[in-house]
Amino acid sequence: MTSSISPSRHLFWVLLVSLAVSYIVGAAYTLLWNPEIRFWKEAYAVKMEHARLLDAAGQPKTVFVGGSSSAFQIDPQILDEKFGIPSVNMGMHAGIGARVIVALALPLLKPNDHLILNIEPDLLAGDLEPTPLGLQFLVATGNFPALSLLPSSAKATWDDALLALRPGLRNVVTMLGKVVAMRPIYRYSTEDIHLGGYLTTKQKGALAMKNTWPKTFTHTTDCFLSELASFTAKKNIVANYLLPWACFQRDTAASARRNFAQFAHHIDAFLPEIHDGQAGVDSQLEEFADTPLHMTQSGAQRRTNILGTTLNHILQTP
Amino acid sequence: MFLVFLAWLPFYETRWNVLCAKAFLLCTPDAYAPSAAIAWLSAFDPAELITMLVAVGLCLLGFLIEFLSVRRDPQAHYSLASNPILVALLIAATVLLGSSQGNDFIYFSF
Repeated sequence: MTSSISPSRHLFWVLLVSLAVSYIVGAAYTLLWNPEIRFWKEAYAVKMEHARLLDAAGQPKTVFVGGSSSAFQIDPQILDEKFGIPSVNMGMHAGIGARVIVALALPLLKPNDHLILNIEPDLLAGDLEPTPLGLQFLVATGNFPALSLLPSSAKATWDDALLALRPGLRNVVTMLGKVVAMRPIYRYSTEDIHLGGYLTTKQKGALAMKNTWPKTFTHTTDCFLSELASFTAKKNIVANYLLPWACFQRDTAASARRNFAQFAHHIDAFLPEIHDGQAGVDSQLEEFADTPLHMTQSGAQRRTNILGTTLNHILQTP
Repeated sequence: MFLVFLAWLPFYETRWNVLCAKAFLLCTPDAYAPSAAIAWLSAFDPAELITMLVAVGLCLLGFLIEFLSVRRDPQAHYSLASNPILVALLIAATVLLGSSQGNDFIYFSF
């Protein structure tokens, strides 16, 4: 018996069904099983829950917004218990891009809160646009509309977001490689996520940086910072910039400090800088974990203590 | 094949200065020395290198299938394109592997 469907029509349906099934499989993997999205989604949930609890208690909160250096350097528990500063560490994966990092934090800011932008200089002076990982993360957390809170961030469309929901060759190869080699699927695990969104890791191996990031500001960055300053001012939110610490060799520390000071001075025109006396540079390599931006627990403790003292000093100064 | 390659080069590289640099490199005999290949390969991190090797392997597999099919049957291009399993596999590979913008962070790499 011959089929009543012509071969070309049959092939058309094969094309269509394969396309739909492939996309659904890719999107499901990206949103539900991609280890990167899964880990940071869990970290994001912990951060959001902490922010919700602080809001419920009616306390104005300090929100640290940055890449993973922020996540691994600032411990909200120390700030709260030792310095009486309720805070949320919204440090996220720097690979999602500066616009996405900020977009994720903006919805949880309330009047009288304190926003401290703690983004790495290279991220802020580099390409701000949402990366595919950033778009994937926004969709996974239901935060895509938050991009439009700052007008210049609203360029990414739903088309971009939906097209980004695919793993790509590198992710598939890495995943298969890890499964075959029986290596841990992701570098960090849920045990590394702590109260308020602070992250730790037992991984070691950080090497000190040798060079600073020779970045110049673009009009895009200035526009982004200006919009952020305007957004926070309208909502009666105090906003500042704080340099994250990076590990530099002692012989390059002084020049790195000078470069970062220039960088922070430029940002100061939009978001006043918080001076913690370090200018974003630290040379105690043993207090850095797996990268020159991720601190060990004792390093983060020292860093948070210095920050807490600085913030209390600022708050007490009329 | 060489002409096709030359035709595709400006199609993919739209920056004139980079295109000229690439064209100059292609015309430089020293660039074909094994040491240049080793230097080029060592510029990749392991994750990028493996990904690239898999991509090249998939391309070679495609060429091999095409070569063997055409040798057996002159109408092979038609029969390959009308093979539903092969079409479904190609669509899946294009959709799932096509978007290969990874990030440079070490958290999810070898």
